[in-house]
Parts: sequence; structure tokens; C-alpha cells
Amino acid sequence: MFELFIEGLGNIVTFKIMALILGGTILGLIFGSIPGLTATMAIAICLPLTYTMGPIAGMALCMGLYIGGVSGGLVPAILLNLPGTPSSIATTFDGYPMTKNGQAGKAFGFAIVSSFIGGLLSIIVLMTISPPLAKFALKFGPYEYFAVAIFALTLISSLSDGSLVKGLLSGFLGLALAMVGSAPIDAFPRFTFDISSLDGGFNLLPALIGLFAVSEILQIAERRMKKPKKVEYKIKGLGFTMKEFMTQKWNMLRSSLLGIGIGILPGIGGGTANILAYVTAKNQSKHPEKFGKGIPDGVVASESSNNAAIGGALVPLMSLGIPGDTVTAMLLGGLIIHGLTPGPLLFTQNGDVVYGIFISLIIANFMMIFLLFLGMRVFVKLLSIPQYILLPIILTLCAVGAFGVNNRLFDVGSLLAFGIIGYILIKARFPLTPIILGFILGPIAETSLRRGLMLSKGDFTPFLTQPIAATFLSIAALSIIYKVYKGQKKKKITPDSGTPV
Amino acid sequence: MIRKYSDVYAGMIFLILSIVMFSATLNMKRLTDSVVGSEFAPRLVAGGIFILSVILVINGIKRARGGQITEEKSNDEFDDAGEILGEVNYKKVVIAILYFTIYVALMKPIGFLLMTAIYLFATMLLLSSPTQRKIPLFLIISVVTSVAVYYIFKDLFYLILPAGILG
Repeated sequence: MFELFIEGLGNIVTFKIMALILGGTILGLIFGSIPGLTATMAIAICLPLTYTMGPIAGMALCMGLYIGGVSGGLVPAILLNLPGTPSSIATTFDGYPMTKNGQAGKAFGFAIVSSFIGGLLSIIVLMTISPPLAKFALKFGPYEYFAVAIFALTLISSLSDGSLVKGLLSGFLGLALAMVGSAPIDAFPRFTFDISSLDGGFNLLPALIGLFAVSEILQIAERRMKKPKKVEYKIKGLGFTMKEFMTQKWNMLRSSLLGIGIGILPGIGGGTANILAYVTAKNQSKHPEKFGKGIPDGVVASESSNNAAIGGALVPLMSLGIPGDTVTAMLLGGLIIHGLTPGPLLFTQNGDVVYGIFISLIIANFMMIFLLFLGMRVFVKLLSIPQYILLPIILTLCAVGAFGVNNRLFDVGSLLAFGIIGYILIKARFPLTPIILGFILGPIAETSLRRGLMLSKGDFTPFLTQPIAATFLSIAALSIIYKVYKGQKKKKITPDSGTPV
Repeated sequence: MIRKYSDVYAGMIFLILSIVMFSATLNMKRLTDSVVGSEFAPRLVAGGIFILSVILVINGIKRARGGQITEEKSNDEFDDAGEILGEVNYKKVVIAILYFTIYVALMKPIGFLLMTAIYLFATMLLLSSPTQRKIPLFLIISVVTSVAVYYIFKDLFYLILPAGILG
């Protein structure tokens, strides 16, 4: 492995490749910091550019885009309460309150360093663990995937802080929306009402952008636009003290590990990781009530996990050829275009590409932290444009982004539809994140369920008896019981409050 | 008034949704020889939504009748507390949505360049207060942005946006 590493270094440390990584990171940061544009979009748009480059060069560019795209989201999340990408949604929960408290610099410092460390940890894990991990995940069959999906879906209950019923309804809504289109296994058209555009169902990207960005923009449109006040984002050095940093070390470690783990799970990536890490940090904290009011822990949890998910998501991609998230789904296509098949063979036959990717990641990670600390002014300047000018432009870019997914206006229409749905639900005080969780995990759960049943010839028992599946399902059941128990305890303490479960 | 009964309304909408969902599953045919078909999961979900929305409606009525408008512990995800400038202007939101709808609807026939410029200009006017309006600036930004986005995406990223009348 060591020789391959050195060989990889030799391949990467050339002017052309370094320039590509730098350019990719900058572009990624720009895409990430503008709400509505995402890392997935950046890569989708730049993939055609890589056709004429060699695979190592192409992947180097993509790694820069990936890291920049995921990290950039923290800028508007902290300053404007608008997540730059779905990976930074949870960063808004405490990042924006910190800005309102005049602590934007500290929020940035923590966010950037957390991103860097989360990314670095995940790259190390990626490099050392992907071969044996690939072997383990090979054992995952439909029973295991079903159990994992159910497990993740039950975590919705912990996301719905206020009302369990509303949180579950949001999750179910996400499940329902995901069922529009071709059913898994037999491709039966469901809920299409004879509209041919619906045959493919709703695409994730317009749904995501509509639900979170467009709805947020509509909310801002309600009120009079004011000139953004000069936000104090002066960063003295890192923005935080060493002592403060040390209090975050377990949070950072735990969130990074969580991000890595979630990234590894196929289909689930930074978008889910940051929220779950936030919720976990809150549940594990000695003072959960401070979350949401501007506590660095929230920012640290969110940003370390979303960058950690990068390395994690690359694990199944490189070792199995299964994308770990939407970005890696794009990368899968990119590798195939260059005539490479991701999977165990990639390690043996194209080790240079594999290590090229690893090293590009490391370099991009370093570039990211330098660019964000030194160039923060530039990215913030992007955001000091008055909202009444910025928001229509963002909406236009969202429309372009939605259009660019599949070259059809239907996706722009769904962008708008999801935006309206999201806006109404916000007004009705429903949480939005369970919708996305349901939307992503629903198909995984259903496909696995049906595949599993086909495998077991109609027998439901393997779902419960297969060891790995059983483990996840029991944890899921336990977490529900625990949530209900906690809810009952709360009700006993405050018997006169009218709030229902 | 709407606020007070919002849970009830929301619950009822979800209730109707679940019924529509379930009835749509009645047409689903089994194409595979298996224990469950494509109608299984949708029915589960529809059932879940039904049960949950009933609970929501009941709780909503209980709470509204109970007189206590105890605000649920607000989830920061959707609570934009702090900067309340004047009242919420829903009319603006509806018009903003209308503009965007027209923009999308006419993008193909009229073309990205023209529609984007028109949309940007109109929305900037809508969202800014009279004192903030700088018509020449808005005009320039609208046109420049529209052209820039169109050509950057066309020539740099090879994403061709609808040309419409001009193409």
C-alpha cells in the first residue's frame, strides 16, 4: 500500500492536477455557498468537462468539487439561516443563532475546522478500512437493507421534537411522495394519474431544493427585505480558543464517526448525516436545551459529520461500485465513462486511480480550509448582496439546477410544487426533514422488503432472524419504545399542559 | 382563527390525502407472483397517514377547545424568531409564487433568456420596498444575470437552456 501511496503522490503533485484540484475546490465552494446549488449539481455539470482528461485528472477535479461543495454550505447556513447544501441544514440550527448572538466568527471557526477534521478522519478511514469493509458489506442482502432503512426511519421520531405525530406524518408524506412513479421490482406505474411526466416519479434534487431552499425563500419573501446588516464575522485566528476546541473533541470525534458510518450506508450521505449527528449530539449533551439557541456543539456536530460522510460515501463506491450518496452516484458514472469499473477489481487493476482519488481528497481538504479562512471575505461578499436581488437570482439558479438534472421542465415544476408544499408545512409547523428521510429511505425499504420476500418465497421470518437485520430492527424497536417512554415521563411531570404527545 | 385550528385543517388535508392514496391503490395490479405486490407499501403508508391524521385532528380540536394556545416547543427548523419586521405579507408570497409559475410555464415557448430577465426584474420589484427600488440597477442586473447564466451554462457547462423565440 505504501508504494501505491508514493506512486499516487507522484501522479498528483503535478501543476496540472494541482490546478484542477484547486479550481474544483473553489468552484465547489462557490456552488456550496450559494443556496440552491449543490455539490451534486457541480459535479453533474463538470463531468462532461472531464471526458477529455485522464481518469486521475477527472477524479481530482471531482474531489475538489465534492469537498468544496459540501463544505461551502456552511457559509450561508451560518450567516443567512439558509443551508447552502442539504449537508448543512443542521448547521443553520445553531450557526444562525450564533450569528445573531454576534458570534459568527466563532461559528465559522468551528464549522471550518470541524469540516476539515471530519474530512481528514474520513479519508483516513477510507484509505485503511475500505478493503475489509467491502468484504463485510458484501454480506448485506435485502433483509439487512430493509432493517437498516427501518432503523433510520424510526430515528424520525427523535427529529420531531415538538410533535411526534407531525414528525411521523412528515415522514409518511415523504414515503408517499417517493412512491409516485414506477414501483420497484415490477415497475408498475403508481400514482401517475395518466400523466406521463410522473412515470419516473419525482427526482430527488428538485424535491430537496424545493423543500428546503425554495420554501425558505418564500418565507423570507413574507417580510420586508432589509439590507443585510454588517454581520460581525471577524475571525481572530481560528475564532475560538484551544480550550473551547478541547471541549468539542468528543463531539467532533463522535459526529465524524457517525458521518463516516452514514456515508458508508449506500444512498444515505451528508444530507442525512448532519441532521442525525446534530440530534445525537443534542441527545448526548448534558445541556440539550441550549441546542438551537447558538451552541457551538451543534455546528461542530453538523459540519464534522457532513464532511466525514464524504470519505464514508466513497467507501461503498470504490469497493463495491454502489454509490454512497447522490454525489458518488455521479462519480460512478464518471468512472464508467473513463472505462473503469468501481469495485474490488479497481483496487487491484487500477490502484493508481484509487490512490489518486485518496490523495486528491487530502489535498482538496487542505485547500478547503485555507480557502475558507483566507477567502471568507469573498464568500461572505457573495452573501452581502441585498436579499431582494439575491433571492430571485438564487431561484433562477435553482430552476436551472432542477432543469439540468434531466433536461425537462417538469423538474422545475416539481421544484416549485415542493417549494409550495414545504412553505405550507412550515406555516403549519410541520418539520421538513422527516419528509426527505422518508423520500430517500422509502424506496430502499420497499425494494428490500419485496426482494427479501421473493428470496424467502413469501416468508417474513428471515427479516427478523438474520443476525445483522435482527440487530438493526431491535435497535429500531428499542428507540421507539424509549421515545414513547420519555414522552410519557414528560406528560406525567406536566399534567396540565395541553400539548399532546 | 386559522392559526388556532391549523392542526385540524392540516389533519383533514392529510386525511383526504390518505383516502385518495388508498383508492389509487385499488387499481394496482400484481405483476409478479409474490406475497406482496406494488400496492402493499402504498396501502401501509396510506393507512399510517390516515391513523396519524385522525390523531392530529382530534388533538387539534382538543387543543383549540381547551383554550390554551400552548405553543408547541418550537423546532428551530422552522421558527424564524427575532426579526419580525412588520406583519407577514402573504399577498407578496402568493404573487412571488405566481411569478415563478408564469416563469416556468413560459420558459419553453418564450425562451430562457427573455423569461429570466423578465422574471428577475419583476421579482426584484416585488420583493423590494419602494425606497429600495433602483429601477436602472434592477434592469441591468436582470439582463446581465440572464445572459451570463445562459451563456456560462451553454458554453462552459454544455447545458442548453430553452431558447424559445430567440433560438
